[in-house]
Amino acid sequence: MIKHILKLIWNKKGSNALMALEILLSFIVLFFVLAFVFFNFERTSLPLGFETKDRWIINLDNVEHMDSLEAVQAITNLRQDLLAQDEIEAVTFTSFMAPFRNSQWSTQNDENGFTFETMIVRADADFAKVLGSEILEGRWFTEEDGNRKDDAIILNKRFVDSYYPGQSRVDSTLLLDGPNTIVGVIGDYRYTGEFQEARNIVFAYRPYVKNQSFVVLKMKPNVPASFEEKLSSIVNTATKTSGSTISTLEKDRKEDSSESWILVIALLFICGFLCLNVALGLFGVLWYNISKRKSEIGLRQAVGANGFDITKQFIIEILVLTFAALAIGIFFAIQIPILEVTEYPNELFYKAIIYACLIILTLVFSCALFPSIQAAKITPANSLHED
Amino acid sequence: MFLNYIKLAWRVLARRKFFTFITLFGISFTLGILMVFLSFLQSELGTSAPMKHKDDFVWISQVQLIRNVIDTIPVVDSMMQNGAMVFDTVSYDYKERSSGQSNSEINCQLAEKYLIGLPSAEYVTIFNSSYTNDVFVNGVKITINALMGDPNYWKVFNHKILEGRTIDQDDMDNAAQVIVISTKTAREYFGVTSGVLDRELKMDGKTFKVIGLYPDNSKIVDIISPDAVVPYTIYNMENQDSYYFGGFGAMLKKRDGATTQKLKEEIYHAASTIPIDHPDNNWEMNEVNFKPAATYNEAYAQGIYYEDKAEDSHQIMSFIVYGLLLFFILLPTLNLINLNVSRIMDRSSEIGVRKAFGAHQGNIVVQFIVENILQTFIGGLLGLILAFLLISLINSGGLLGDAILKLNTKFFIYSFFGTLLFGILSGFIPALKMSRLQIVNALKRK
Repeated sequence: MIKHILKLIWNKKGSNALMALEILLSFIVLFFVLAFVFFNFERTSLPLGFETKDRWIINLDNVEHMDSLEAVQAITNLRQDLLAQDEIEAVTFTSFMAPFRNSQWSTQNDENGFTFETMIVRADADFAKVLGSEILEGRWFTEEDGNRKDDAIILNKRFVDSYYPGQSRVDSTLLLDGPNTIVGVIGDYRYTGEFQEARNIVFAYRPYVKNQSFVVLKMKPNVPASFEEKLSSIVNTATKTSGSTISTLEKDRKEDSSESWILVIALLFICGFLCLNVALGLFGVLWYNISKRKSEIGLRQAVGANGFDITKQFIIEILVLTFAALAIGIFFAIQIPILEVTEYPNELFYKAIIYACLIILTLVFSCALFPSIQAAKITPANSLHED
Repeated sequence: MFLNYIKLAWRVLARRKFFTFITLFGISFTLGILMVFLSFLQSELGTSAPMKHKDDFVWISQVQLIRNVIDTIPVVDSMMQNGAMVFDTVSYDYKERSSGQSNSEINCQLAEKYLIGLPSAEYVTIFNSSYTNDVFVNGVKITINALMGDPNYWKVFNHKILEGRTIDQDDMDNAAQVIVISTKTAREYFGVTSGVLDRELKMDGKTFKVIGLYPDNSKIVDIISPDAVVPYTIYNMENQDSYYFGGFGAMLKKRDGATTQKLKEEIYHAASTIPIDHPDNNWEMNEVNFKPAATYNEAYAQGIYYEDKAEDSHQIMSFIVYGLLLFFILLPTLNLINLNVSRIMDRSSEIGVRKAFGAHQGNIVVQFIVENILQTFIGGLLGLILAFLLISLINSGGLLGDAILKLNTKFFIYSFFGTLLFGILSGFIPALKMSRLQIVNALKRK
């Protein structure tokens, strides 16, 4: 039977080649779009590692430009004034590596006998309280950490898993610009945004007076936006300018991820349209072709084929063509994970290949089904009579 | 003759409604989405005001300090002899590597000293685009993304001035607290979009006098569409973070007759004359560069896909965009060809008769292409409607932030040619196939 079908396909090789090419192209488009979409979904499914609800952030304007004593005084005053407000529960000062700001500080180091790569974030004692970090092991920094001879650091779990799998590193030493004692391990802190890569992070303690770029506030629930004006005047008085800006982490998070969401949705929309377009086209072509083969169908029925046989034949015919096209597509697509062309995980591409195949097979099958069933309804009397 | 073709085409379209629907659906969606994409490119990378001279720009946003060090890697061959380690040979490998770099926006005075006066540059504007301030009007917060600029800002960017004037050299010299605002700021702060001259705007603890008004230009890039512009001399620029770094960037417009490539080379040269032994260089950096020192399109591409050289980013991004476009057009085209090729046999007798009465192969090809173009234009029209709907949806929903997609004449011209191309492409193969039909075969089928 397969031999017979192959012959039928070969007889119309011109138009079948076009159809196969179309299926191949659809596969390639689907493959890339799905890989991209899966990649982004995988990232968004990871926890951010900090709270955004009821968190406000102030971008301090002038403090870094003050001379150091003046800056320390300004930050100390600002902290006191902020904590005196009923609306504010807790306050943390951070350097420029603040949530949803695009600043990153990363470093590579091989002092420990192996090369590690990590981002560095400077944080004060109230950081975990304000941002709701999940402490997995050990503790968060305290202000006494400022009095140590070495520096206190905290790792994220990803760091421990990458370089010390299965070990507890609390109270051990890590060399990074001098010896540091690890005092704790936290879950994660993907501060650059929901769609960003999860990376290794080392938190280094720095007292709040030296973190002069951003302030993150943990607000009491349901503080109205009108409090911003009062907050703004508090900040301006303490820092002696009015260039500071206030935002909420919830708003920043939405703004930050909206661009990526738009891209994902636009791609899915366009891809969906392409699929629909191809499906309609295939449907049209198949329907038309089958209606041109009435006499063949009539003849087959006359020699004893039943309706199911006819339907089966047409569906197998188009599926053989689809498999041929997909085989070529998979051959090319699979080179990406095999040759490791990109730095992205291989599973992503295998998953994209599988899903793209499934979608195309479903599409082709459903497009072939209706015309093939119609074909089975043709009776020899009608079709042979027409000739 | 063409009228006949069109009449014929119309009949054909009306005859098989289902196939016409499939065809028109494919064409209208493809062209509609293509038009939205075109409109996006037009609003971001087009040369409408204030970006009339865009192709003459070279953009510098950062200064980069690099530490290049020669790494010596000793390779020791050793072997075990009688249970003891014995050293055999020692060889050394030298590799140059970058062991650290620091990128940030430029110090104002550094930019003034090294970027003004390059022979290939007609105008240079130096600005700080992150002068963002919250102001409160009747308890409502307005965030003004202002830019600290200079008089040349208006010579480089041709913002239309609706009222008043722009910042001049006197304002700069006197550090005058004057501000030129966009209609967006006027609307939000004063509640009007005209007649704002000489009114006072309080921001950043200062009272600015409004001296000019320009239309809001919604673009994603902030230096093109600031909410307001003030002279940067209102702050004392001598007191910046470091000799190298500050908050500034620069846009250079090349002189007529010079090339952007030449201007870029002059910038590289200027950077190489910056002293590296200044005490503010406290990490032993040994190379200074201006970054990206690239044309506007190249820098834009680098913002999306970062490569160290903006030219590379531009190449990769163009490759990706053209590749995507190709796939996007190829698929519906192929679909249409497929449909046309299989259906065209319906009309073999018609072709046979026409050929028998003396029609050439060329006549037949033209006829089918005209038919197809007519079909594509109907699809294109539907696509245009779709594009209008999508664009107004995108604009009203603020899907692209502040960016506003616009439709203009250029856009229509591009869309027209896009549609024409699509029609010819998808009609050519079937037409050719049909025109080759022998009269005998064509007529025999009846």
